[in-house]
Amino acid sequence: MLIDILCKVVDNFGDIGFVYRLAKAIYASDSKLRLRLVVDGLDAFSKLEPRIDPGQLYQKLDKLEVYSWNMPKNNDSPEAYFLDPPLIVLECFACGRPDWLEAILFDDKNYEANGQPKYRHIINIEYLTAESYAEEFYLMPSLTRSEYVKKHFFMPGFTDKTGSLIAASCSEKLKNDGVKNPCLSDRMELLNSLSPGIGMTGKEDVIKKACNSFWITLFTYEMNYSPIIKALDEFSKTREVLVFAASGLSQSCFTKAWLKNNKAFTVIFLPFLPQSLWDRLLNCSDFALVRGEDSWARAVLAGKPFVWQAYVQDDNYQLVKVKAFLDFIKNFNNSIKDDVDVDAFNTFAQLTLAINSIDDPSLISRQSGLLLDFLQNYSRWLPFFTKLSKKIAENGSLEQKLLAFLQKLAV
Amino acid sequence: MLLTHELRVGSIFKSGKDIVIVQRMLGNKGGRSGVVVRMRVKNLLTGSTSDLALDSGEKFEQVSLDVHKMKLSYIDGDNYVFLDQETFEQYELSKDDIGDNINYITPEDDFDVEITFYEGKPVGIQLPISIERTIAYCEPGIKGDTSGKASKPATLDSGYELQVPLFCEIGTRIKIDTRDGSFQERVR
Repeated sequence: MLIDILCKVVDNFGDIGFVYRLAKAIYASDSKLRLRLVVDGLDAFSKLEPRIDPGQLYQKLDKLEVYSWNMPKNNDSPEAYFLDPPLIVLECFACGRPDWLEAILFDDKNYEANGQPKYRHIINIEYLTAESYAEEFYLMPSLTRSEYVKKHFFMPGFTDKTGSLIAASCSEKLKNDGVKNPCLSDRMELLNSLSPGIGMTGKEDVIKKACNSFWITLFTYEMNYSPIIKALDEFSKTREVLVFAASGLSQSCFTKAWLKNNKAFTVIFLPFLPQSLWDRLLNCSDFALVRGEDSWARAVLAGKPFVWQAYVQDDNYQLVKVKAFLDFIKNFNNSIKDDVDVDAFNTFAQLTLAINSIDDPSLISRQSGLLLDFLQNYSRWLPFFTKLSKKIAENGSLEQKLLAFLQKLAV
Repeated sequence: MLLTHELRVGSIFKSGKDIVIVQRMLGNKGGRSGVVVRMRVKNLLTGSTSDLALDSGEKFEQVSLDVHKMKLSYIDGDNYVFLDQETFEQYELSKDDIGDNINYITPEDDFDVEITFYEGKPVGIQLPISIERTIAYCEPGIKGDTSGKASKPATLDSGYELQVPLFCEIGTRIKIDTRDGSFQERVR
């Protein structure tokens, strides 16, 4: 089966991060498939995967064929697309299609066999959301202007009536072992992998001490970090804290506030990490503050307490998404034994809203107290997030559900 | 070409060989990459209806069909009877064929609606994007609150319920967006 995956980089690395992860996960599920990736932001892709050359219109990355969205002339289609016109197109996040691919896809002459054009399929993979419409839109048919080009919606999500999350290596780990607390050797191994970039090479005693600390990973959009630093400062008085500040714009916001607070706890300033190391870091962390969608999904599957900061949208629409996720968490909490009590849950909900609030000073001013309260009750939350992650993993993986659907379409 | 965001109840377009009419808008969801709409369409060739989702990236060929201006004469159960103002012939459309547009018309209206014909039969009605109606019932208005941020339920003289700003009163004339049934503004 030939699958074309399309990606437009809106900003940052969320879109290409998801798409690259999806491509790897599809290969991991079925190595016989042929995948072509068409990307409009090869610069961003090259940061995520250094083997990518942003100047090339076509390149191979292991088995993955990578094409630039932007051809010198928009009607110049790569020859490979005439030899093997696309049959299944995964349009990620309704990114549209490059003109040259559109021209091939909608020209029946490119698909004629025995006088009859073959059917082509477009799957629009939407953004991850906990809103109820994820279930309504999952596998819902759509329309195109051609009777031979069929289109469907594929919704990632948290319930078994959605397309789930990309699991890849995670699913195997969860299937085999369930989520377990990171052991010292996992952390030691990770720090050794990170050490060339974080200045720990050869410092065995430092690494050993670091492994026994309470690991907190911070990866957010730009924000005022002072309330977070204040809470972590207070929390670090009761136990050794090690903060991993992810690279990007949030790192400078964090650094400014951390320096202002006299470097109250130990911080590792991370370079840009490949996905494999980033996933391992989330698995090894005790708590994470994550942003966007790909890291949100990873944090859910990591099985550790986390708070999610959503991408800010027009009219504060992100709050609808955040509240939908909180509702999902609340319903899950009500469905399990040993649930988290109402007060603790309210703290978590208020903390999440406070982290996502951009224009409510009363909520923002409560960030510090809420985070400290949450961390002080950490032992209540760890089993909850472990169960949550296991439950979501049981829904199956996005790549397996997607491939099963594509097989049906191909028949 | 018609783009997704231009589609509304009554729009008719081609999908492959099929000619479809939008009967109901079933909600839309905003995402970072644009709006996704869910709608019910009827295939005018087969008569079948289906619910589907459309993102903002697709474009369709608009179909021009015969359009006649008519007035809603009366409602007979689930059938709406329209009177052609030129020929004085009557035409029936079912509630389903009119779709969400039934929310905005009554036999008492003095304005015309456009009835679309396909192969000699009426298949749907098209309304302007903005239409004026009167509030038949709502809780008393709050004077001074003109921000429009807070809202309350109101019932129109056509029976349709929607959310309106707090300053609205019974008898207030308002403009409604027929694409999504939302309050647009008070008619001054």
